[in-house]
Amino acid sequence: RGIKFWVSPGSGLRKRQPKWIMAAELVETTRLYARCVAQVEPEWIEKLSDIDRWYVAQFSKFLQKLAATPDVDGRTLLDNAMIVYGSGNADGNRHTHDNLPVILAGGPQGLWVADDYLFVADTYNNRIVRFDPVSAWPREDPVAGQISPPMTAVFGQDDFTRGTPNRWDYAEPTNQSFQGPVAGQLVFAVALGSEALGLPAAAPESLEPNTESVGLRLFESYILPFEIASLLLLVAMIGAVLLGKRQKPPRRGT
Amino acid sequence: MIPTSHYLYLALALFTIGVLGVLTRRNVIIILMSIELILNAVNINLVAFARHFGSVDGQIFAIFVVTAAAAEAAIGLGIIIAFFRNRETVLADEMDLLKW
Repeated sequence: RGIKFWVSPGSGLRKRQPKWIMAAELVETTRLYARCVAQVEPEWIEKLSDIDRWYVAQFSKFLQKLAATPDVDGRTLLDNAMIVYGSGNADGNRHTHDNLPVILAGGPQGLWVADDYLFVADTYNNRIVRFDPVSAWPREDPVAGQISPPMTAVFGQDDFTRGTPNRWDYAEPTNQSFQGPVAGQLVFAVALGSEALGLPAAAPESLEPNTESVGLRLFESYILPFEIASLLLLVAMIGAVLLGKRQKPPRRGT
Repeated sequence: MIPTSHYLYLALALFTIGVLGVLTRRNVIIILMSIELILNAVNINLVAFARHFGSVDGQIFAIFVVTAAAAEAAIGLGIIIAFFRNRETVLADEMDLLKW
């Protein structure tokens, strides 16, 4: 999407500079960092997007079938139903549950009226999520260019990272723009990514041993404090030996 | 995934125990141990925030804090041993050499 970003300093890919990478999220701290980075091959992305496209096409067919079937009250089944499609994890590596890539399909004659809250029992994460009513949604998200329904966890666990000024770059396709967005499919590819295919290089960043990056950082940008610390240890050792040495009994006459 | 706040609560508890130990105990060795507790509480804070913000710098700072703590422990124990040889005491309120 033409965004320039830096690979997160905790990642093992920071020094390697692979040609193609895939990131689960972009976070703006001191710079725009990409987190949960995995090295990928372009063929994998194509394969994955083929799979996702197939799933989304199946879902679309299902919706069309619903729309073609009349219900008893004269409307179609789709008008009277509410269908949720998406992932239970926004970021599969770190199990974050904010900004879920979810499609809500169905008519206003379903469970959800425009001025009602929608409560979704999220048993997988032990919580209840409240979506704000449709009338209160922002029409356009200024960052992602997509509509993201405001949701809050009203019961159960909430995420600690919610309050931080992160700039999430998820796109959340809703049923209004269902047919289109390639960006939405990309989000699915990213969210499913490493878990679905078991990519070999996709070690989860939170679990990966960061000994290498710590060591590199210690010997590159922190080399001067490191040397000073070694000097401090040497002085402390000499001082401890001097302090602990048993003094000779003082000679007579001096 | 453990939220960052839990680490902060743990660090807060350790820090409180350390400060109470420094302020209330008479034995110099226990005071030294309490200072170590305070330093380690700071270490937990550093590492927790490093993880929270996805950065390595906090961990490196924790390494330096451990280094300084080692030097401090060595020198402190050396001073205590030397003092005990001279005055036969390790109690803080009996160390009144500088008091006129």
